Amino acid sequence: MSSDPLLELSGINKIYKMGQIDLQVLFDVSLHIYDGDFVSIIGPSGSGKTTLLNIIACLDRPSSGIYNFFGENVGLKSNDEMSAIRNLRIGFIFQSFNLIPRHTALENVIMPLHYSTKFKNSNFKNLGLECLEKVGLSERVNHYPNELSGGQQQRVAIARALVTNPEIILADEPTGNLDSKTSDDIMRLLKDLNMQGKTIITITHDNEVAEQASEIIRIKDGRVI
Amino acid sequence: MIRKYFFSNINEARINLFRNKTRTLLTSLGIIIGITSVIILIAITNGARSVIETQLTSLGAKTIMLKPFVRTASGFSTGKGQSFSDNELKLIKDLDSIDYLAPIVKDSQEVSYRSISNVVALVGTNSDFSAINDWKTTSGSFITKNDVQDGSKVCVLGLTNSRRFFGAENPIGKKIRINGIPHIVIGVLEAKGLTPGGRDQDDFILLPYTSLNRLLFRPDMDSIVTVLMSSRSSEELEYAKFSIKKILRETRNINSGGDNFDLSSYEGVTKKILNTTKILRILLTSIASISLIVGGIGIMNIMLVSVTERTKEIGIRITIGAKSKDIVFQFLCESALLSLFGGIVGVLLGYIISQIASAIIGWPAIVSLTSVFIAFFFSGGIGIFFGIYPAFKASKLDPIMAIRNE
Repeated sequence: MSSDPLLELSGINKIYKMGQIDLQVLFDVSLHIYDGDFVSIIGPSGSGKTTLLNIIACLDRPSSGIYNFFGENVGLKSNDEMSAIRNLRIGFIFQSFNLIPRHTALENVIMPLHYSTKFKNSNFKNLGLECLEKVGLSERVNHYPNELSGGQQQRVAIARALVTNPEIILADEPTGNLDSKTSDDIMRLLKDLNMQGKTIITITHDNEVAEQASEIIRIKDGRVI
Repeated sequence: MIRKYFFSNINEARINLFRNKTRTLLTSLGIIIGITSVIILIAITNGARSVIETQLTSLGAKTIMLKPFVRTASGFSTGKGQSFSDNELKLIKDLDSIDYLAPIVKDSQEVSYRSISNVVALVGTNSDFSAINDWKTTSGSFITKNDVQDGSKVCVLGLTNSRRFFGAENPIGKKIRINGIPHIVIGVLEAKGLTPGGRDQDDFILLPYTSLNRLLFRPDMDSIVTVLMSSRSSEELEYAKFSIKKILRETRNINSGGDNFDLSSYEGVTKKILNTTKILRILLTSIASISLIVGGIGIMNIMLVSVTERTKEIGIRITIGAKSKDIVFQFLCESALLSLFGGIVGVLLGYIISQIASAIIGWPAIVSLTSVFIAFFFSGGIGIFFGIYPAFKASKLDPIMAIRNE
């Protein structure tokens, strides 16, 4: 574990303009996440945790404050550079899986590879199959999302998050749509990935899920508490 | 790198279109109809053009006319001047590019049969006249080489004169008096009808030109007012004219500019008529193009619907790393592929329908490679053009909002 944080947020504010009114959802948020961490961000709905996640995910920019990603200021990056960061350094897992229905499990998994010049077309299939194997779905490669159970769909999503071999996995309520047994499986899978060296950040409103992490960041009314 | 990018996008587009067959088919229907009608219209006007071309050729696209020419002080031809010698005609006839040659001698004389008599235009010529003018006899036979050589007292009637003198009677083998001298009717020509100016083209009697000259006590060669010729093909027409000019200038020792003969052909008329078919084709094609544009707008509509429908998908793609240009390119590929598919089906359908139509109207339908290429280029272009707006709309979506869209 290096001493420099992978992600470093300092004094982040986020203000949405709603017509005449300014709505501030994040107040002076500062946090450090290190290589190999398993961090849970927990807070009730409306606490600003999704906004925080969007900023961490390079999907949104803070109104003020500095966000260093691998030591580089994200605020200075272009949209395309932010896309490249999301593509290669962050794997996304969502509550509602967010698979594309017309594509098979394998096609969904390899989709991020299309958006990078780093991978060869001829390798796509192998990389995709490798990741599906890691999540235990080797037998469902050519199934469409609607032919898979919720847990299986989430595994496909995890495989997709792994396919470009990113350092960070961002999970937004990864077990929100799953029953408790399947939830346990998915959390175990995330823990395994953490053991293999991935930095994992989940956001949740569920204490039980949050407690699986090695570090818990509580957020309330846009402030870290 | 660009190739990889291109192919993975084409593949993505193929997946999207292939797994939504009904919509793909319905969307490309506009393009299919457009391309089909363009192909059919071009095929049929091309066919019409080739029919008109062959008919024009039979009308005289290969015909060359040679006349004596005298420039008067005012610059007009009097139509009288040095006629053509036996030797000149022989040299011309021997040209490879000339198939047929018929000298024309003209006069008008009193013609009578039993109690009927009338002054009729007489045309003296030879056996090639029929081939040059594509003018055949409906009964009997035409003037032969021997008739010309012997100056036989035979004649071939234009239809009007057959009716005038014989009515319903069969004239073949009967004797009519031309300037009092009996001539045997050996044939009747098929009808040509009126000229656009209203002149009856069937009101004359054909004789061997030697016979006509003998009848009028005229020398053979000085009497020729026109020489009709036909070139081997319409392509060789210009070359044939050039060769004739050369022969006449040599035999007559003329420098350029002082020609005392006049060469003409119908090619100007041919060109004008072919131009008309070209205008017709442009007109029909532009009508068909309207349906292509309508088809293109149909594609734009569906692509816009598709962008709205797939907002979430676009959000996912942007989140996992798609750049704006990736999204633009994906949607452009889809709309281009959609209308190219329409183009291919349209070309096939157009080909099949035009062959069926050709069988029904008895007209060749010529599907040219050019029209197929134009159809492909056009349909691909329409797909890209009408796909631009939806594609850019998709690429401008905010992934945070888009991904929450259900």
